[in-house]
Amino acid sequence: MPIIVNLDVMLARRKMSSGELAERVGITQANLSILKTGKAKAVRFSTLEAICRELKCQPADILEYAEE
Amino acid sequence: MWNSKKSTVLSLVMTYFCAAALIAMIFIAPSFLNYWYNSFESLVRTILVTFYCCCPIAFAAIFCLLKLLANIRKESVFTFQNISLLRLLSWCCFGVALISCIGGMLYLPFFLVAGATLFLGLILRVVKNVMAAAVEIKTENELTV
Repeated sequence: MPIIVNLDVMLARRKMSSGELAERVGITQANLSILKTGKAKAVRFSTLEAICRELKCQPADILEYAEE
Repeated sequence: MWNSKKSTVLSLVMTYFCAAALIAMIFIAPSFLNYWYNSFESLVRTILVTFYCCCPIAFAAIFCLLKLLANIRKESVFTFQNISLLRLLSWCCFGVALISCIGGMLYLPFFLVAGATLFLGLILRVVKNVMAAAVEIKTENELTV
């Protein structure tokens, strides 16, 4: 998929676990895993907003476009 | 109060009833037809041959219906398996339409049966397409975070 989600990098920088982020954002660990592994088909703006708020970053820090 | 669970049970009961009626007809069809068409031996033969040729397809259709209803009762509705079952059901209808068409060349009213089952098969194909679209939407929804 052309959109790459670089959550692991930001999680490492903020020294936060996936479980902790999932809880703070209000999504299940399964859903966060879907996002991290690139299987997600869409992300709600509300979810993206919550992730950026908790990781104190911009959408561009976690989303990347790479041509196939 | 009528609900979807009771409706599914009713569909299941009707499917079992149809299966039982089909099995009964397999055994009593010759004597039944001989009673009504005493002096029309070739006609009885035509009707019987057409009926017995359609029987395996009818059993396949009943099997598909029972599998579909079992999946619905397990709350597994919008799945690829159900789409395949609907596709198979439509092909069963087309199969019966083809056999009835051949029977119609010897006994005209079979063309009516062919037309009706062809139309039913078409309806099932459209329902299958609707179901396939629903499965796509459901999959996309499940992978939306």
